[in-house]
Amino acid sequence: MAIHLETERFTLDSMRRLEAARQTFAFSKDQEYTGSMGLGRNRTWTFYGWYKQLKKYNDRKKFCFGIRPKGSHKVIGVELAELTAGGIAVLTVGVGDKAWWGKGVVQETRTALLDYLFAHTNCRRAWGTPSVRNFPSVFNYQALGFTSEGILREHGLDWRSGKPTDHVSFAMLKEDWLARRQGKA
Amino acid sequence: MSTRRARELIADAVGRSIDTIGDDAAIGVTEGWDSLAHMRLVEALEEALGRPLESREVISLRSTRDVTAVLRPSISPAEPAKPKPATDRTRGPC
Repeated sequence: MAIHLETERFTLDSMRRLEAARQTFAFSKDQEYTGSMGLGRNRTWTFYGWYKQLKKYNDRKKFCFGIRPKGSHKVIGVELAELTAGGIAVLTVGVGDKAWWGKGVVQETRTALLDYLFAHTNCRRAWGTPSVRNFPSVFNYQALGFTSEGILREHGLDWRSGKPTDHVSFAMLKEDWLARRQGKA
Repeated sequence: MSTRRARELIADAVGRSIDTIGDDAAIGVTEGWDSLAHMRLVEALEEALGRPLESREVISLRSTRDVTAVLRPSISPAEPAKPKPATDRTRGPC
């Protein structure tokens, strides 16, 4: 059974691979989206190729939530998490609908995702490694109180220039998240 | 002076009057300081400094005090203009 989460403005419903491909294939046309998600640029994706690059989401260790504004059937982005056996979740988020950029989507949906992971899975640590030059992504981690644990020097390639670029490791521990949530309750 | 300049840059980035941006302005506190405003702030800082920010500077930016700290070494009316760097930013949805 699919996992359903709700926030003030959005619903998040878990999707399996085929559904995720259908709902997000339109984003494959956007180089800013594919570049920032580490999928390269200047590539024309077939549906099959887009499907194949997605993971086999299973709602146990690999999660893909479609983000929809309440009252809408349209997926505007996805929240992804991959959970190791040791309880460490790697986070990725992509908002493909640019009309929603700068509207606080990620802060709201990532909060719901973290609430779920820390309450209903063995997740004890959640982290992500955005490019330092992905300023909105860095902001979103900072705004949610993630700890910057270090700079990963020349960890990736800037999708625009092809040049090596630093990434930064941001992490949130379960106890810190719960304390933060209680402080704001 | 550098604090006022920091407040100016933040005010421009979030689209508000400088009078509404205090020394305690910060992410999560200041209305309008969202992800796109943050991107505008970083780009404005790089323009003001005439160079790309170092990675440690980018991840340090959370408040007026942090912006002031990044600006401080460069505040000097007598400094000659520095060449403008090529923009090298990744605006991404994630």
